[in-house]
Amino acid sequence: MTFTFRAQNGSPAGPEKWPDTLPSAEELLRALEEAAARACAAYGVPKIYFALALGKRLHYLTGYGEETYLPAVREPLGRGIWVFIEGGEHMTAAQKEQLLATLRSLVGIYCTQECGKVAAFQAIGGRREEVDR
Amino acid sequence: MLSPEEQAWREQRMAVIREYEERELRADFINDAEIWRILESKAHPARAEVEEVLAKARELKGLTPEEAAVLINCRDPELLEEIFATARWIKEQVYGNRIVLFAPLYISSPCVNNCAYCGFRHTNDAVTKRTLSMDELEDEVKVLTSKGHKRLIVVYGEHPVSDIDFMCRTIEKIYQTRNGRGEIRRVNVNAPPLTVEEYRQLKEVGIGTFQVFQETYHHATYRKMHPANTPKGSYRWRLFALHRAQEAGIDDVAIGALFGLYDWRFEVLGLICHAMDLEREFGVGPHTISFPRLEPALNTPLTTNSPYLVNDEDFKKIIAILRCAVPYTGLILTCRERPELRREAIRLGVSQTDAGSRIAVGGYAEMEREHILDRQQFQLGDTRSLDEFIYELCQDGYIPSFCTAGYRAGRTGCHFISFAKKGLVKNFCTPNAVLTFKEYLMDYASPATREVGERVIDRYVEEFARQMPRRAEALKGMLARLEGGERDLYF
Repeated sequence: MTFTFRAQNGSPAGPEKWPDTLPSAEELLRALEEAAARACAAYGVPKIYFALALGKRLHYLTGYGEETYLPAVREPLGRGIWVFIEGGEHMTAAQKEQLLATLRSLVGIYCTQECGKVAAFQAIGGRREEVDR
Repeated sequence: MLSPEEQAWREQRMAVIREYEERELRADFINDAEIWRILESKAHPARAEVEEVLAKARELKGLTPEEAAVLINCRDPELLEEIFATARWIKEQVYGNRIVLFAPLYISSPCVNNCAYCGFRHTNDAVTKRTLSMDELEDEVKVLTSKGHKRLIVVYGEHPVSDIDFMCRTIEKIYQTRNGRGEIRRVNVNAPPLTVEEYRQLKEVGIGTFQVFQETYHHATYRKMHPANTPKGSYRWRLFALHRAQEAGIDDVAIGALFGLYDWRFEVLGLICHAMDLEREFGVGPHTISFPRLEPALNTPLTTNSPYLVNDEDFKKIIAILRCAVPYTGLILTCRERPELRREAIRLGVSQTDAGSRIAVGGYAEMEREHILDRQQFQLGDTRSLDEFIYELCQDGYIPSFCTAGYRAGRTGCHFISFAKKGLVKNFCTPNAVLTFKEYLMDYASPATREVGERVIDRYVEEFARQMPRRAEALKGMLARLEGGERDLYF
């Protein structure tokens, strides 16, 4: 799966190619990490990372970039996943919406009901679970 | 005596444990003979050797068991002061000068185990065992939040009334309980070892840290303290409790030993080996280490008769050595200790402590009673209020913290360690301490504590502005928002 983030105004970018098969948890993490890396480059953001909500706990999934030690802006992406954006104050509202729309689209693809339970997001700790197909 | 139902539950639990023991392929990483060999090989360390170990500790890379043994066996008073100074320095480098505050909440004391040192052991009829109802739990939480607490460690016995479903319900209840501006933002759990599936269930409610103390790493002592026909009788089941938690995706785990059951020198190396094995397998060691000392408990002679009781000087050594050995692991000191010793011990690398604690089940509802010995697991040494303790911390130059930002901002497990090991976690810890302490001062502090606390905050903000001006501006902005009525702001 590949993504293109467009830094200019315009309709949100989406995947260039839809997946042929249902993805695994590993693939989800890779896709998120790649999306974070591309978004950091496209928008000049130092760090983007993702976490899964478990009650009050936001459990780190993956991310990309250099820590800024500044407060992050966090936004829900659906399916219990949140994105944290550090150092993105310079982004315009349109750019932020575009980024979030693309990330939500990504999460939606990897976490459709056909994937079964949210085990897709249980890629945590030392063990990873396959999506329950 | 256990009822037939309790016995049946215990048997069921032990069947699960036996089945686990047959399947568990992990090797027991505590080799008693090897630990003693290491201790004996470093029995009389030369000055140069101690100084070399301390130099390595200051590199913030931790210590091996052999290196820790050098410090353990050091008896030179001058060198001991250097060990203490090194521990202080390490803590300030990694965490800054903040002390995180929490409260214990004993939810359920019935237990099917019969541990020789525990006031709650099932044959100890001198102590009344009870379990909080949901209404009583809510009342306890409201008392705690009315004092300003934001972080709890909840404690359960091993018993059918406090099974995994009960634990999950009570934790959810705690998170749901509101009291004006008061709320609990992080619940850590001290509970019996669970199966992987049970850990997964617990993870879903969003806990902070899961804590299991091995009590003693010495195999023969473990057998002596924990009858074989009880769930706690299985050394391996307990030793790998946190490995199983990690398997289930709980990546903030906590270990501890109960000092006084066996030789403290052995237990320190046991803790270090445990931390190393977690890091080896999962890439991240324990989030915290606790080192409670045996304290008197009603009708429990071992707590005062043990030949291994730890004196104050050795206790201080334990803290300082652990700080040197595991620089990125939180160290928890509790209200078991007397106020004057806590004041000294905190200076040796402690990062977290409780205050204003009551450890009887339902004890916060009767806050004015410092001790309810027939409902407590043991006796506390420090029963001062949270506010009194905070006042003292401020006088000693610390910044009290109620921070719960890490686990709510995805800074968990390996992600946390990735910048902790660069010695930079204090870049979050310090501003978050300032923000949470400001909330405390505005909403809960006595006038005297507010006055001294505001001076502490001013000092920290000034220092932060010198070191990190951009972040200091963000911090000042958030402080202004707190003064404007917002709450729960964090980096």
